[in-house]
Amino acid sequence: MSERESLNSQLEHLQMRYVGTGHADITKHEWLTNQHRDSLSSFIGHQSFLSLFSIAENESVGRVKYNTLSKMISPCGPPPKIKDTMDLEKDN
Amino acid sequence: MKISKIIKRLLIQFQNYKKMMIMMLNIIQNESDQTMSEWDDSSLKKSNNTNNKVESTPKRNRWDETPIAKSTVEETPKRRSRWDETPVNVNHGAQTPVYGMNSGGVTPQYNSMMAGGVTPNLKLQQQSGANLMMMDPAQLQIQKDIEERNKPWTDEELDSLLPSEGYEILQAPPNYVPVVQSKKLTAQTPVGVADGITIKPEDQEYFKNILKEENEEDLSPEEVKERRIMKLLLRIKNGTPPMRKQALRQLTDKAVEFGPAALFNQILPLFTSTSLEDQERHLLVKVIDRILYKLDDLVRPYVRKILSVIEPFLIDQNYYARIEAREIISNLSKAAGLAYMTSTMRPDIDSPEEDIRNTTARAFAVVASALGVPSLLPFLKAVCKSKKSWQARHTGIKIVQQIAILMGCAILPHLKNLVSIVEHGLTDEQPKVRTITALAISALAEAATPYGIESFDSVLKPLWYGIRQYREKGLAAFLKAIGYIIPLMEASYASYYTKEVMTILIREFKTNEDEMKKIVLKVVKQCVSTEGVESDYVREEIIPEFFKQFWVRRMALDKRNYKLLVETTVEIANKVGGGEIIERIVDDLKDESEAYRKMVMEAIDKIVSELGASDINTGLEERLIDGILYAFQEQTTDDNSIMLQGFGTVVLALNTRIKPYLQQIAGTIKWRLNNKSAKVRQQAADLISRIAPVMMNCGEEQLLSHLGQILYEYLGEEYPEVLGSILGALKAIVNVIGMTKMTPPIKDLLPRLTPILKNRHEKVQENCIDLVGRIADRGSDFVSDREGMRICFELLDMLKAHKKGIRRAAVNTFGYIAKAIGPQEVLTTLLNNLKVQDRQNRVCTTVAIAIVAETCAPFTVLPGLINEYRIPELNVQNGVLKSLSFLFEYIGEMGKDYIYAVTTLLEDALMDRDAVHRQTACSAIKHIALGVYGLGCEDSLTHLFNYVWPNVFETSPHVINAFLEAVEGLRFALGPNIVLQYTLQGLFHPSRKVRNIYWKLYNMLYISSQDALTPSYPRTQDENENHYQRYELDYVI
Repeated sequence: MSERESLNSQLEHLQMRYVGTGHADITKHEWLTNQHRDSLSSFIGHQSFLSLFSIAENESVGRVKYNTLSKMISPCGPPPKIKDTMDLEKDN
Repeated sequence: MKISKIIKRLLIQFQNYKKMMIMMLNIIQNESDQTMSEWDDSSLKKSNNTNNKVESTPKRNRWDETPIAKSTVEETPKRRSRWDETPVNVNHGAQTPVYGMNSGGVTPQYNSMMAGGVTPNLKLQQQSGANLMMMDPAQLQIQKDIEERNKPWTDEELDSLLPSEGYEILQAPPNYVPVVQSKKLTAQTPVGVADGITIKPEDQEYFKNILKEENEEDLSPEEVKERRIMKLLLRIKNGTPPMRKQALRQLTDKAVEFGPAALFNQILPLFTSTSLEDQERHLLVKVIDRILYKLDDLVRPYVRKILSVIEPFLIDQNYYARIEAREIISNLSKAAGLAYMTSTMRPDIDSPEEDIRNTTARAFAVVASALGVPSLLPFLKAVCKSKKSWQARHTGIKIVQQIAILMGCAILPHLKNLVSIVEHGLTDEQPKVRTITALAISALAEAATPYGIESFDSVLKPLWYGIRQYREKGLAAFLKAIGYIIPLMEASYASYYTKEVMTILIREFKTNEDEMKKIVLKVVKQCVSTEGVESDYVREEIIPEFFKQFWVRRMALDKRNYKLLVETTVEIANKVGGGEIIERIVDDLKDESEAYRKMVMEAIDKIVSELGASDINTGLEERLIDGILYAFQEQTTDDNSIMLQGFGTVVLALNTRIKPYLQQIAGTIKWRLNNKSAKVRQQAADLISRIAPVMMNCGEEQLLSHLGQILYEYLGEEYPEVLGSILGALKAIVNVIGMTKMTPPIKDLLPRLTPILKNRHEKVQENCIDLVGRIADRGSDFVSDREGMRICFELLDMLKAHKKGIRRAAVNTFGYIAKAIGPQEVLTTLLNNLKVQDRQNRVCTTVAIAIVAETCAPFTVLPGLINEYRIPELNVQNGVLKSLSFLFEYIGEMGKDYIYAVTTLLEDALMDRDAVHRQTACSAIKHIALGVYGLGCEDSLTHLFNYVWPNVFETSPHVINAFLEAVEGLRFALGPNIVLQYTLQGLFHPSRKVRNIYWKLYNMLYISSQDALTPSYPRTQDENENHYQRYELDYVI
């Protein structure tokens, strides 16, 4: 009982401290958003990535960097509506 | 002296019999005169008739004549001697429970003895038991004490005290009836048992309700609740740890259901009980903490009541009681809230009782630290400015002082506010308020050191006026405040203000008042240590008067004065140089007061260790050594660490300059090594170990060898403490002189040491192993095979020593010996030791095996070790695995050559049914992986990883932890991407249990290598409006 509680609180603590860590009830969208954000920040962090993308996209490095940054706000689009899943359940 | 005292007591004790004594003497005279009185005659005749047997023995006590005494010894339950504790116990072993209580106090065994009904007094006891139950425990204690002192004397005692000749024992007159004090026989109540827990007699009052047999149906619901809480509390207080844990949880869970009223009505009286032990109080504090947390604001109506119980503990003598009281009040304030706390404690602030105000101030400080100073500031401001009564102002300022003491540097953000709240108190018309204000300011300055001088600007002026204006107590407080503020100042200001205050300080040097003396010393120390004060100034103005007034014998008597004086003197020495100060006090090393000599020695020790001996000139050096030798030889008290320390420090500091005196010092040591007192011998040996390196530096090898020889002869020492020191001294000599030049030669020394390893004393063991280990390490040529093995066998026992130092030394020595005599035989011994039952022993054996492998290269050990794994015995196999784990931990990257050798063994272990096998194998793999990182062993590591992975669903904490650590290690060696591929399988598994552990693994990976994971996340297709593809990764140029 207490052990489980402490485990839970540990997990909460972990998630508070490290953005991007997951848990058993995470949705696909949340997980992928984190993946995208990590990837984007990794791209910004490695100059070679930026150079590669700028050549491929025929944009300046600064522009690519800016685009990447702005994409981090909502990299995978809005979260799927919860209502949809409830509808789905109804349908099923 | 003692005898006369005893006789005196005896006379008092037997006042009733005084007359008889006189008569007795008369009789003797009469007998010799052959003229007996009629009275005597008849009485003697009578007694002769009644008891012939007794008369035949020359010495017999007349009190034994009563029929009870004749029956058995058991019948005299209360006789006992204070002098021969144990023998009496043995003699009258079965004799008497009552007496057992008197001596042993409150043992629970007593209860069982009672049940046995050994004693004829049982009935009596039970009768008065009810009475006594009502008694206050303190009263019980006192009564017990009184009885202990007033026990009647036994015959043996009297016999041993009074001379056997010239006295005769008379029969009691027939009409003498001894006064039986039946009540006195029952010092103790029987101990109750409830719930399988014995209750101490002192606690019976609290738990009397559950001691009775009651039918639950007859009780009201309230009473039932009360009984339940009581039982739980009893379990928490006196039960076994598991019982306690369970009860504590129950009490916490049901806290709201029970309600605060029922709970606190039970707990608070228990908390104030005088018989409460530290441990029990701690447990109750824990209970209160937990229920406070649960009850939260339900507790409000009881704040007053709880505070009135807890507050007195804030000024308790016991440190832990104070801490626990603070904890409760802090939790209480968090539960009840600030507003409620202040309104509850408000009336106490101007209470006429000083104690109440004092505790209230402390309680407020705790509240402030729990809820934050800013929230309390407005309230404090109002209180400190109170016009109504000076008591309120006093308390308010005291709160500020306590806040500073309690919170330390955490007050810095509020420093300005706190100072401005109290500053007006310096000019208050009430002397008490002025004093406390100065004290509060000094506490604030102390807490703020070395920052915050700007906050004190406003109080400087009143403080400086103050020290001119006031005398005695008020002055002391003001000086203290200044003493703490000066170190915060800039150098130039500090210098100016020091000079200002110094005239007053020097005037106060002469004071007789203890408190003032302490403060003056402290302030001098603070002033002198500030940067801006010039050494010339200190030398001319302070030093002469300082030494005249303070370096006197009287100062050595009080411990606190002593310490402060030494500290201050060291501080002055820092300013003006050590030589000058030592010059002034060195002759006092020959003072006739030992306490004073000690103080001088301590000051010299500290000065020399801080400043070195370079400014001690030749003349002074001579006087110093002379003084030290005198002081060293003249010590009489037991606690002589200061002399030893001081001697060692001075010798070390003088280094080669000590050479001319070494002969003399060695002579002293030799003489003292032969002393009758064990302490003196020990100290001499300790001194050798301290000065051995210096002696070597001085080129006194000859002398060292000589001392070594002498120490060798003293190895038969019987006091373990001394033997330990002698071994330590030998070790020091061996260290500096080297193995080859050592006298006695190592081959003689080592066989003498081996039997000493059997000694059970920790100090002896530790020093002996150290010495043996050093010899095996440096002088392996001198260790014969047989001797080495003998040592190994002795060392096995020490692997389970309590002290870590010994275990470590033993394990290291194994390594050295294995290196000296070859690992084979040592290994056999160790492997056999894996079969023993004792776990500690096995664990240490595995460590030793690993050490042997490390020192003698793993290939000498591994084959034997792997072979041992074939024994189908759990302990052995686990031991082998554990050894492997340690082994790979120690050898690090050397492991790459051995990884293939152990792979199949680890495979087998990881497939074993026994969880411990798998656990230990996991930890071995962790160490392997961490060791071979980057060395191209991915093939076998991946292979092992496949065996590790199925343990992912283990639930036992040890196994799962070992598994997680193995994965961590493998992540390091294989790279996170490979581990990620394993993890992905279970992240969205339908079963939550699977998902939980897989996500845990994922998080572990993610936290440690977030960036490295990005390229290897699985490709995901877009869904509706969500773009899940990371198209950038598909760019190809």
